[in-house]
Amino acid sequence: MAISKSKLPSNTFILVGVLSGMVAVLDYIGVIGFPVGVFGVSAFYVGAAFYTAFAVWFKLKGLLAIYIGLLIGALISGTFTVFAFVLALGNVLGAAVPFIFFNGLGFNPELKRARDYFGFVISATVLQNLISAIWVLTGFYLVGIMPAEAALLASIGWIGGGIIVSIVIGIPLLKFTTPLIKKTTLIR
Amino acid sequence: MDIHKEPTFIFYLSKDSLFFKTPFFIKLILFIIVGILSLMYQNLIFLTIVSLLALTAIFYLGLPFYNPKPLKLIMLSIILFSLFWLLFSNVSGGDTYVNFFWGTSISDATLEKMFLSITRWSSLALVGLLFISITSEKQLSDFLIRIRAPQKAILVLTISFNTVTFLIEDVKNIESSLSSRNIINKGILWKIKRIYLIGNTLLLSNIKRIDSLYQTYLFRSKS
Repeated sequence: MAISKSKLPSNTFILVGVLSGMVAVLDYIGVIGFPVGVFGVSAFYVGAAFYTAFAVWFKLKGLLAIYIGLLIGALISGTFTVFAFVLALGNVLGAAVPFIFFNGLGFNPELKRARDYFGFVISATVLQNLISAIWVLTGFYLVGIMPAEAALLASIGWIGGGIIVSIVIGIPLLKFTTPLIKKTTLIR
Repeated sequence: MDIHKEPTFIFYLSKDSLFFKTPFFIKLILFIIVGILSLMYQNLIFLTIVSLLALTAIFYLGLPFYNPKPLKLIMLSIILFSLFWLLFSNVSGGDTYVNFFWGTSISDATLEKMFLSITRWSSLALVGLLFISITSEKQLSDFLIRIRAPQKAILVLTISFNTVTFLIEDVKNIESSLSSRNIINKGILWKIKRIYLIGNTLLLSNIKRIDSLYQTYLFRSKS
């Protein structure tokens, strides 16, 4: 007898636990592999493309996992500060944009039509990076760590690197892995 | 490894060390208070003393000889912030030393702001590094149990920390596999693609892990 996926008991804490572990490792790879910036703020922050996919696939569970995972990532890479609690929110808010686009505005995460690619470019490459950059760099400016005049340059570096990462990693990740994820019990 | 040593988040520390034995709650409170003071207090002497004390404690623990990566990252971020202040800030006051053609300059006020900024950042980062060098995952979960945090939240953390260990091992295996297929770094795009391959393989192989954990949970919750 086939059982509907929605009738199975909740797997939220397991999913969030393993996903946050994965986010922590991706953050670690991003920070150690491309140390072209400040803590968790890298010119080629490869984790961001995976966070897009996690937010689109697992919705609020994905966003929660991103937040917890970034804090654990800071713990294991040795870049943990009081400020990490605020900085991690930048990536969560950024990933919330494609989450809204693909789950609320009817874009298909399998990227089958031209409008889906358009939605991806607007949400995951432009808006996601813009929001994360504004959040983190404003934070740095407000606590007096970074001068206001450098914000524009830092934003350009962040958004430029983010766009490359989103296109190179984000598109194949959503297009080819979404059908596989949909077949599992992880998406209900 | 010395059997009397306990693992912390990034280090191994003697069980008898005063740093390790200090209750988690006290370490957490000190970390938060010093962190918030570093963010809010505009005093160069205070920030320098905090940084030096944290650095001395870290050297005393022997961290740089064991795991120098965090210190390298702190140095890198300090250099980057210094360059931002020197090249792109426009703070007037005192003597001006250099005028750049893009409209900014280096003056006494710039240097003062730059030193304040980098001492603030180093005090934040070094206090954080000290905290994670002397605190273990077990101390964190024991603390959460003692304050009666929701059991599922503690489970999420336990699963995450346990998963991280497996995942780092997985990453090493995937990397060797990629290297053996001669997928080597050829510039920045190749490096990004390589991380895509690692991340995607990690994701697909761990879907099974989530499912196994879920099956175990279902069986145990039914009995």
